[in-house]
Amino acid sequence: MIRTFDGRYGVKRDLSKFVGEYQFEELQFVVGCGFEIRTPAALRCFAERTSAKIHLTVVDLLNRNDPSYRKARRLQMGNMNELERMASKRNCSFKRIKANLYSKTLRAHVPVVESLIRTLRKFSGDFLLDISAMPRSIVFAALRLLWESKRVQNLFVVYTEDKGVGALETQAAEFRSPKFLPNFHHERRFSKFAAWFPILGGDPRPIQMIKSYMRFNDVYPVVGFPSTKPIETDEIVKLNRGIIGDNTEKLIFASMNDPFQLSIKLSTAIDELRSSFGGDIRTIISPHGSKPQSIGAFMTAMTRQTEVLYCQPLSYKSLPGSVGSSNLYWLKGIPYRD
Amino acid sequence: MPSRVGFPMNEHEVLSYRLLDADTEAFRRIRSLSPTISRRKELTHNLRFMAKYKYDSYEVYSAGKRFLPSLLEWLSQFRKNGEKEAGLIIVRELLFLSRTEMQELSRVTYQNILLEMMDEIIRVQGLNRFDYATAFDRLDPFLEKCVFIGMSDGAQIDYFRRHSGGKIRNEQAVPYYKVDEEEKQFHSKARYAFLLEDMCGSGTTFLRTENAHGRINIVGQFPRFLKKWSKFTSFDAIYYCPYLIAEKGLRRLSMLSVGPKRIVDRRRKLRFKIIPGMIIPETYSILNPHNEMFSNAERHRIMKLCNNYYDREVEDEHTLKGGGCRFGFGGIGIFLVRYNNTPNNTPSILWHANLAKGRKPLFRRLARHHL
Repeated sequence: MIRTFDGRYGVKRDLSKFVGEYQFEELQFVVGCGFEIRTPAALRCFAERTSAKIHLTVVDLLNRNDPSYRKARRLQMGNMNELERMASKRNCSFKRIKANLYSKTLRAHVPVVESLIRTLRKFSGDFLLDISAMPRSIVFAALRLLWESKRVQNLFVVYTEDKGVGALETQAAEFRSPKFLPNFHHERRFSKFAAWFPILGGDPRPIQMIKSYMRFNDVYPVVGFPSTKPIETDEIVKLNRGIIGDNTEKLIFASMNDPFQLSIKLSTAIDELRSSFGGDIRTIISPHGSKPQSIGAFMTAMTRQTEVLYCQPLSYKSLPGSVGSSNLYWLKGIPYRD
Repeated sequence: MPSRVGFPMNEHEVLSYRLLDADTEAFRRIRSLSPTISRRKELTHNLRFMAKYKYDSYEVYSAGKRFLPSLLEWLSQFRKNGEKEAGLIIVRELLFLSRTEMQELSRVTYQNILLEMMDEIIRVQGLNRFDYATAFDRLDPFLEKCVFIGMSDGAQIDYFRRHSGGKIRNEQAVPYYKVDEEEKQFHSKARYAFLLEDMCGSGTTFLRTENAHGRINIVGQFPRFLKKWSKFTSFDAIYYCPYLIAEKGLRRLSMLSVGPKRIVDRRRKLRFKIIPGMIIPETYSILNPHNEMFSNAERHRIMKLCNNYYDREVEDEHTLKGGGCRFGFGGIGIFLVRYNNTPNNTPSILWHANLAKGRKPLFRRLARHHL
């Protein structure tokens, strides 16, 4: 049996404290190489504070269609060199995978998933996914594989905030048209009723695009609350007035920084809807809030078989940002029941 | 010629005229109050939406005058256009917590308490450091040793209990800490106390020192609680669980209760920990030069407004102990309003009423208690 978060409690820790508490022996560490200076922060914490044998896999995110790619690439290469330097200093194995974000279809996750499948054939143990710079389409596909695999003993997710903006990022400059994430689309032929759970963020455009793309019978907008920046909640609500409209009573408040609490909230709402409609209902989540909220959306999608409809960013505002706190989310393993 | 307002309309008038309601009329007047305010459009853009979404639900408002008419009245008392604009800037960054949001914080606090209880089970029973699965199975017998106590009616302890997934029983929840001796006796076997509070600003109400005739006295809710309950129970650990706490208050209370200069339980017989639901950052204070809600120029304008319209009559001997309310009791300086009342930690310009001096509040405050 796989021991995963089951909706009763979730284990979330400050990363620097956790690495002192948990005895890591051997760890598969997967990190997306972004352009922000927070990219190597989590690996640095592990390299400096643990004696674990680390196998490092770096996902090199290519996006040549992005007008600011040249600038982003310069910043990315700085981070890549830093990750390589840390790996070499700690004598870690180092693997670099290229993921093309500019492909018209959502294919960027394929090389990551293929690499993880190869790793799982020869390794069984602890896996950590640093999602700070990783696009959600890759995160969902990689996590699904690791969540379902019996060879993954403990599954950790790490997210480092940008100190200046908190958990709610707004680097995306443009978005692709909405698409269901691979393996998170299972339209039931006879389901006539579709309920949409858009997780609102600091940019209303992707949510508006999804609203124009598909019709839903009912909408339950999800707003981050509580948050390390409490004013964010009202700002999100104001920005997304067009989506919320007069349906403020259908707003779902769910933690901006705690994916487990978001998952508990969403799962409860979905269970209640299904109980009324006898299961004949499509539930669709659009994870456009914070990255930790996306992890909550992932766990809900896995435990409640919901679909995930998402607009992947097409280009970014390439700013180096700043390094905030790193949190660790323990999705699977020792803390949970068989 | 239409009938005068207040007189019956004829059929034609019914079809062609729509009188503005109080909110719409107030909004129209707010927009025309200061046509020279440069950012008038930006600052009033979300007012009607936010009024309907949450501000109108302020429970101190009467049916006849809710947010927009109150805002019109509040802004009108400011003499200069620049002051009216500063008032609108405050409203733009207002931290208003609705009933639903406070209930959400109660739920989040329960989840934080749940993890804390499981950590304690792991520690006391010597389980594997991360064996939460076993700890969760042993939660029910552990809960027998716990009591959940409201420190104020805002804690909504019934709501808290109902959302514990059936874990906390009715008799384990005490609505208010000042209960009769029989009730305290009933909890004599409790080893863990969870003190629930809706909000903590500076923490002065909970714990402080007072100098009386050259002697330092430790006073506040916490020492009062210890005094009242210690006759009947001997707690191993006490957890203070405010659903909402200002970062400044959290730091101050941590220093006074667990730091090296702790003033409570110096013999360290019991453990004390604060488990908050949400922390309001210190950078939200207008007194903080690194304020992240207002530009520096805006911050100075708002402080000037607070100074210009400060009324000394807002103070009493208790508030003066906390440095007065000009920028909020305890120097908290955050424009925070809860659905059921405005804390005195919010600068008084937002809540103080003095009809004789023409001071109008935007969110009138009901004095809840003295320190």
